[in-house]
Amino acid sequence: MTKAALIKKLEAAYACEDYFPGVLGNPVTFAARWGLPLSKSYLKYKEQQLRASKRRRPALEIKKNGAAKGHRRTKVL
Amino acid sequence: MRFQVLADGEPRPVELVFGGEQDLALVSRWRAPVASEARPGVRDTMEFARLASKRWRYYRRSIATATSLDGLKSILSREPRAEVSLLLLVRGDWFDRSSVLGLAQCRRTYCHNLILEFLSVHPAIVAGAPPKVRGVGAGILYSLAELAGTVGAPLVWGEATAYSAQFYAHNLNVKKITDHFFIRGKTLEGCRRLFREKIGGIA
Repeated sequence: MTKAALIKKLEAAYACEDYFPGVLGNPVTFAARWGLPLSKSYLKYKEQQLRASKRRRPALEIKKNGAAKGHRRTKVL
Repeated sequence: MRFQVLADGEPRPVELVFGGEQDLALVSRWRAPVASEARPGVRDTMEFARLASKRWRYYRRSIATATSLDGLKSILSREPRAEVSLLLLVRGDWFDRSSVLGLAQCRRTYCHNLILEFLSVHPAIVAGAPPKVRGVGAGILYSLAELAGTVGAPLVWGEATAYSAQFYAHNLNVKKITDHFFIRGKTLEGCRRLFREKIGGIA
């Protein structure tokens, strides 16, 4: 097989790597399931991540009262 | 077992071997590139490497541990219902950052199935630092299917997360993966074929 053909085959076989998240599984659930302690630095990192996501969350929308009312009032008889 | 990965678009050989205590020392020296240290995937892979070491050491005290294919076969012939722990490593001498590019912690159950407990790739590869390496994660999965076939295990199964479900779906050519995956029957055969025919795999 030529090198070019091998590269083509590998590229096709590894196309799914675009979806590879780096690790398969979740460190936190894995640690919890097996009773393993997460490292202090990781816990600190997760805490920072949580704080940052809270900061990014948009403030509660304040309901507007609608379009400004005109000065003239319709007299209701 | 051997297969090829792509490093900066060039094919490079890697080896899938059974790991032991000494290899875990290499994994503990995995470092992420400074610029991408805080990226979630990178942090997760570092943490997984640590957890893998802890889990492997725990298994070593509690169940049989195979450090070679012959060792695995020998354990199975002596005790067919044994639970066996396997640490599989992807090694490549050409990778400057570490000789270990990725790892998978697996367990052979008493039913003779393989569980992929977790899979982790070197943080520099996850971060996309040069050289850009592709194929370690998928290669491990295909090699695991080949290993299952070699020892006659009918099923490889594991947990999928919201982040990894898409990867499994594409990799295994399945429409939808929820929180678990099963590689068996035609899917297992397909993965083994990919290993042998597409990624230059040699068992």
